[in-house]
Amino acid sequence: MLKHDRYARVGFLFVFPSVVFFGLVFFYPLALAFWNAFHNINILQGTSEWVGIGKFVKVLGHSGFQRSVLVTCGYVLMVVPALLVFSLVLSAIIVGFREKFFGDVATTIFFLPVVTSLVSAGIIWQWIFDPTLGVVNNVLNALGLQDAPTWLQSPSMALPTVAVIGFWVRLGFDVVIFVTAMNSIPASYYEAADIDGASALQQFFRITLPLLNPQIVMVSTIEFIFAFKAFDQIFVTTRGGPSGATKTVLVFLLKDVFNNDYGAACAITVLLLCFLFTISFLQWKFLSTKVEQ
Amino acid sequence: MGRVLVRRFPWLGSRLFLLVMLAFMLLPFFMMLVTAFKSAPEINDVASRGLVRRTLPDDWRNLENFRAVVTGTSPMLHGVSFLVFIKNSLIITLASLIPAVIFAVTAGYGFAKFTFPGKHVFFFLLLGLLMVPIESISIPLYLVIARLGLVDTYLGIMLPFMISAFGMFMIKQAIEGIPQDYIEAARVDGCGEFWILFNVILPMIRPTLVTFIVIKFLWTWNEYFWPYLVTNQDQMKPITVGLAKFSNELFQDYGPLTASVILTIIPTLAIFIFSRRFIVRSIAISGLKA
Repeated sequence: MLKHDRYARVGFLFVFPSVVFFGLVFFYPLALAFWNAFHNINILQGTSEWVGIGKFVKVLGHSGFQRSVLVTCGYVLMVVPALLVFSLVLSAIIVGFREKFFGDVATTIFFLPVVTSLVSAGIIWQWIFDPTLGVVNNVLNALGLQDAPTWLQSPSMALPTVAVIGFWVRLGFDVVIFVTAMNSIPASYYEAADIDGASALQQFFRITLPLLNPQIVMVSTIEFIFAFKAFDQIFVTTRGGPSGATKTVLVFLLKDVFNNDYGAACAITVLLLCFLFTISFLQWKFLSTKVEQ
Repeated sequence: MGRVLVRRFPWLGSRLFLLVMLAFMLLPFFMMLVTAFKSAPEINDVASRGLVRRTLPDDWRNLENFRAVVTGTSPMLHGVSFLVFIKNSLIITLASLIPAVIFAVTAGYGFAKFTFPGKHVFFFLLLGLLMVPIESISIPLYLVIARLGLVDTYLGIMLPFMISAFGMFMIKQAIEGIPQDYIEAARVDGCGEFWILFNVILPMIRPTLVTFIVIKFLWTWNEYFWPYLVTNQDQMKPITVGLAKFSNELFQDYGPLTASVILTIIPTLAIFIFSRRFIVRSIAISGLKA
């Protein structure tokens, strides 16, 4: 069943170095992490003893970990639906421009934040949301609101503020995907709907959205994973504070666990890996079967 | 076209909404530009100034912040010039690009145009890797790097960046579109396999290659998690880590801070503007393929 042609060896040689490098840089550490997660390693004696799911149980029962999962879920819920809704609506508006030039300019402007790093974005937005000197509170004060929130320093507002940063950085990416997808829908669909007397809103929900289904799934998954890994902009602004309000799983991992309990860190890594991998895999499965339709 | 659709949306409402969102997107850039040219009293002394004087810098030619950042005299930098960070980022990003491209092109070619035992296994592994975020292997990889004594070295930082499963897929798909006849003809003429790769395949996938290089450059330049793990000395930190450390001090010195962010962003924005077509088209196509 395996086809061997004369050039099989050449092909193998072309691919082999990459496989080896991947093995060393990715699979080997992965295996180490799994090993560490299931064994107690005694460095002094050089022994390791199988503890089964002991570490996982400890991690899952740890209140700090549980809290970080809740924070992460909160963050994801704030960012991802907003990204989807805003990017879909904005794409619909952009696509409606008669002059292509404006559409292009708008898309470019939306995409600019995507290429600035999350670190840069975090710093600038921290400046914007600075409680005393930042432009947001200055405007609010000028409008009469004297007791403006302290944003990143407030336990209640810190997470939404950080979510705004994440939203700002990612919006353009989704807009680009949706604009292109919408532009590829044949006009005839809409014309037929016009003849049938469908309103613009009906057309959007009955024609555009269903046809955009694959892209919606893809964007949802990408943004979900990206949001779940939220780290950069949080670490650079609040470091997980105030009092753990923005401590997502990765922040928790790096700040509290990594230096204290390496075994637990590996367990969390494994959990995170399996979770995100499953999500990616489900998306891949869903999209592969879609193609057949 | 979607145009038929939107002409019926409330024209003014949707344009207004778009404008608001565009302003939202541009606000940070504006704030950055406006703050970097201000001196400290201009920034802190908000209460006694009117709206325009408060927003715009007094002197647009005030490069003090940039000077402080570049020479390292800004107190938050502890004597390390920001140029060191830029240098590190350049080395790390550019030097890791070379192996990444080599791996992507060779493996992409191998997967696209050859069959050999184990091909499906390898490909499946590659696919799996694509679904693994780099953060998942960062912690165990750090241990490996530490044991090898590569912490705080360029090699240690570059290691996971030297290869890209994403690039491999991109190149593979591009090469698959090349008709086999070209390759066969070259073989008949007695050309070596590497010669074929270099002189037949490579020129044909140039746009894809450029796109990959640009995306990979931007991606590596903006990486924070891994370089943060692997660097301790300030001298070795790339721009993202240096910037972050710079900003985490207790007192926020916004003038130099925004100046350094501008320095960080300029390369990425420049590259983006020049290669906008490539990047946007490649993302768009991956969306359509979904």
